[in-house]
Amino acid sequence: MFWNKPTLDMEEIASLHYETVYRFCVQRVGEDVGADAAQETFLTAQKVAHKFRGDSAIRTWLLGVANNECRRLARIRNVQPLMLDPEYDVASNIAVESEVVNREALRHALAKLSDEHREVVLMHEIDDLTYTEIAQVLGIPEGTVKSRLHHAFLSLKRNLDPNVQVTV
Amino acid sequence: MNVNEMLKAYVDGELTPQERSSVEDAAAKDPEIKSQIEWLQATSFTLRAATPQFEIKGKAETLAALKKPAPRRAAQWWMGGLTIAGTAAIAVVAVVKLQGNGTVSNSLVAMKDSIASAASPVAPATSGIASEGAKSGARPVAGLDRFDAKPIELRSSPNPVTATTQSKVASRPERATGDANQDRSSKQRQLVAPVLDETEVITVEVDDVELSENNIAEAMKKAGFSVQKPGANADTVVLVVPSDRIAEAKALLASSSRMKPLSADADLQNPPRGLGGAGGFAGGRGSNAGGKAAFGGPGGAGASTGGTKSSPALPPLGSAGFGGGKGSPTGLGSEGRAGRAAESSNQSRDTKAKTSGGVTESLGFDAPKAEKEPTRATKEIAPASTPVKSKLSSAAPKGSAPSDAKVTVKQKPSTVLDRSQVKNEKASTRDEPIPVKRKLLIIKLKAKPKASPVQSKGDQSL
Repeated sequence: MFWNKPTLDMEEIASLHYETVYRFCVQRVGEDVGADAAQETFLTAQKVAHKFRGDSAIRTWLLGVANNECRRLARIRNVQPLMLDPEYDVASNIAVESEVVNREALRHALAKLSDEHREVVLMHEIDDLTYTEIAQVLGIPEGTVKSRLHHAFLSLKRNLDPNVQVTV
Repeated sequence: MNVNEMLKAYVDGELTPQERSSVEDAAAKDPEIKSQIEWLQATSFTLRAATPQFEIKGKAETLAALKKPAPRRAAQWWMGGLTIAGTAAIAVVAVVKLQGNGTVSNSLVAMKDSIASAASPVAPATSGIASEGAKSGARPVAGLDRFDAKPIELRSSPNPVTATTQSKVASRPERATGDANQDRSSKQRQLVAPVLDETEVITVEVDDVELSENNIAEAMKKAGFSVQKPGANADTVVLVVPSDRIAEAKALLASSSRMKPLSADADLQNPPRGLGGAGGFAGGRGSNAGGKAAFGGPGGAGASTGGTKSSPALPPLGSAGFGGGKGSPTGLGSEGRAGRAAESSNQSRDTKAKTSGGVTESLGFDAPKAEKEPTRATKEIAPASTPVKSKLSSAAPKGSAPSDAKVTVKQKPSTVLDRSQVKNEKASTRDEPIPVKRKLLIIKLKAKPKASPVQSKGDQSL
């Protein structure tokens, strides 16, 4: 793997992983700041590339840097996370009305989650990271990730309106 | 971990086969667990389906930003630290070296003086003092601005009669001073770092040390020399004199101290040929007379300056011009030499240069080596001068003229230049930056001992 080399070609890495990093950032800080967060992520990664030991995938490492950048920007800017797509996907076979209701209910429920819980939910469900990858990005044990996800979904269920039925 | 806590992991496929089988068994037995699993699957599906899709922005800008060289913050801090550490190390080494030697090393002092001299061309340079102190094992001179030490011990020679030559010539090559009409200040401005080229210790015997010390200091200050008195009871006056004003300074010293020169280092090292100390004594008498003539009136200093200004332009002839005799190899008499020396400088200073030239020669400093008849100035002034007794008899070769005899000097053939050579030399050096050589004169005043039979006997040996 080329990223296991001591020196990283950050331009090549950016060309490969920019979309992933950009989506990750936009979901956390919004579209307005997402591009800045993504660029800062790669610039920071370029500065600290010598610290990359190759223990994890470069994508995971980049998302960890991006997560820190989003936290930093969220502290200094008024950001509006874009967790779920408000528009309905026409391609799906789900009824439009029920889908809109479900998404809106989920969006509210997600907003009520704690940062730790919401973070792992987004990483696993939206960014499609495995438990191991989430553990590497956040720097926490894998068991902690498993536990956080379990409690996050319990909280999510409590936060959902009992009248709202999640259709499968 | 119970089954309920493993349900989410079961839905996500993150369980081991054993855990998976245990969850499936529990779900088969308990419909509540089964419904919970279905809810988790539905919620996860909804969340994944609601993943926002948006246009990717800023990729080109990010790639362009990555092409620029990244700021090397990591390198900056350690480079700065390395610079500070290196400077501190040099300072520590210098301090340790100074403390270890017990005195200031010559190189450091020379560097220090160079800096100080560059800042102020007339600032007194004390490197010579420090060097003298280091050489003789004594401590540097106290009272000087840049040294916090005790007065230099000048009695390095066990024999009080014979002074030890302590002359230090800097490694800087000597250069002809060239155009005598060029303003001295403009010459000094051309210098990058004037250095103190030579140190000379002059021991003089005076009746009243304190009075003479004050007289010398006052006279030197009036003449524009940089004067430092190391201490109230130091019996020493330190002068920083440009090389082209050495003769003037010595003449002024002779007149102001009413002294009897005990020693003049340069001449002790290189006594005039065929004359030795005797010539110096004869000159010593002349020096007093010349000093009186030159500095007795208001125009005295100017006369001396005029004479010395011609000296740099014509080094050998300048000396002869000050006190040259009729019998010199160049065939120029005292008047003629003085006149020719004045051609390069100023005609009005010519006749005064003759007078001061007598002073220079009479002191025995830079005396021409050629045999000459006494100059007119010496002839005229000698009878009126104060009787001077010399203690340089040991340095005088046998057969030399007694101190009261007329001065006959032999000029160095190697240093004689005819006019064309001098002109060529002047032309070649005119455009070069001209260094101002400065000499440190340490004047040691010594109380004149009372007349004793031994002293009289020594004098008679002259």
